[in-house]
Amino acid sequence: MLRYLFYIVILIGWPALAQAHVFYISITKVKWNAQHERLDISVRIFTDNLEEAVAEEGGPILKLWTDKEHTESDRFIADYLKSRLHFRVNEKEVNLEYLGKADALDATACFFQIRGIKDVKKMDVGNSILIDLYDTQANVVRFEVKEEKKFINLNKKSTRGAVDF
Amino acid sequence: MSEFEIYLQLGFNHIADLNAYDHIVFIIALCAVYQLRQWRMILMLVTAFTIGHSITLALATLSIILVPMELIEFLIPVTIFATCIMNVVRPFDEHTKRKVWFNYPLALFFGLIHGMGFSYYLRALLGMEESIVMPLFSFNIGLELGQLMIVTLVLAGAALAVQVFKAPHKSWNLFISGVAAGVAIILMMETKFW
Repeated sequence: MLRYLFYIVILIGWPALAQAHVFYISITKVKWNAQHERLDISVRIFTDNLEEAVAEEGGPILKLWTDKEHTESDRFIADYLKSRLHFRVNEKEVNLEYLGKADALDATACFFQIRGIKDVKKMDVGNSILIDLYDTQANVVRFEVKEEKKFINLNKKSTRGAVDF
Repeated sequence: MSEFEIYLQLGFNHIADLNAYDHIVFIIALCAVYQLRQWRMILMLVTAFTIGHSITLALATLSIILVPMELIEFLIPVTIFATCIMNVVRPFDEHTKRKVWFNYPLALFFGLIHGMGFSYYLRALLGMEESIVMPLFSFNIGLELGQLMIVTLVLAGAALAVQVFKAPHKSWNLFISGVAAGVAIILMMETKFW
């Protein structure tokens, strides 16, 4: 009896194979590179969410990490992330420079740098990545300056935060 | 905020998130046959779930497993549905007898597959070079706390039905298991891929 039940469950449950994750988180890491006087930044975001976000902004379907990937996918990704992610260092507005991206399991890691950072005392961050798409989106930002790590968790209710070093 | 607090919060929110209701539904299904006075058995269930998590945590830390996400996500509504069926097809009195052990491995198994899902996602978001031990550990504690909150709510619902409205506990179980099974079926239909 139990065995048949098991077969029935498997049969009905099969469609669930295609279920997408319901885990809306991005992780941004900001690390000060004292030697080169710059901030190294990586943004890890689920690839399907990133594609949806770009499409939502009127961009093409990027088909990232496939043979059919859009030839200008880097530009669309950089534009989207730069419009949603802003930093101020020591009370001064700074510019993100897009470097490239890498495939990381289900996520895409996007790399940026901010040059000309001689010292870090205070950093402000505004991060509204994906929050207009998903109500429960959480954007974690991790700062690392001289071995000291600080974390901020941003979401729909609060998209801005600041840390002091 | 510390790293521990951040991931604890993410874990708690993840369980309590109404958009990710598959976990909530599973816990509801798992608790349907119990009442507050059986708290010891519920505690064992929660512990079994935690052990399941911890096993995956250990395995993921040692980079032993990297199970395809598709398989894991397929198993989640299946477990919910199986739990509901077991709640209903088994003679009701047997649920609360100690010799009935079926729910414990089920909870352990569910903890195991959930743990796999989370370690996979956290691995993707943290990058391969980074240790996921601390984030995963805090995340799991957050999940357990969220889970206990849902268990409490379900038991309060049972108390309301049985003590206040004088409904037979058996009816409460049938009602709750039916609702959960329905949700599980919808979850399966929604994700149809052929």
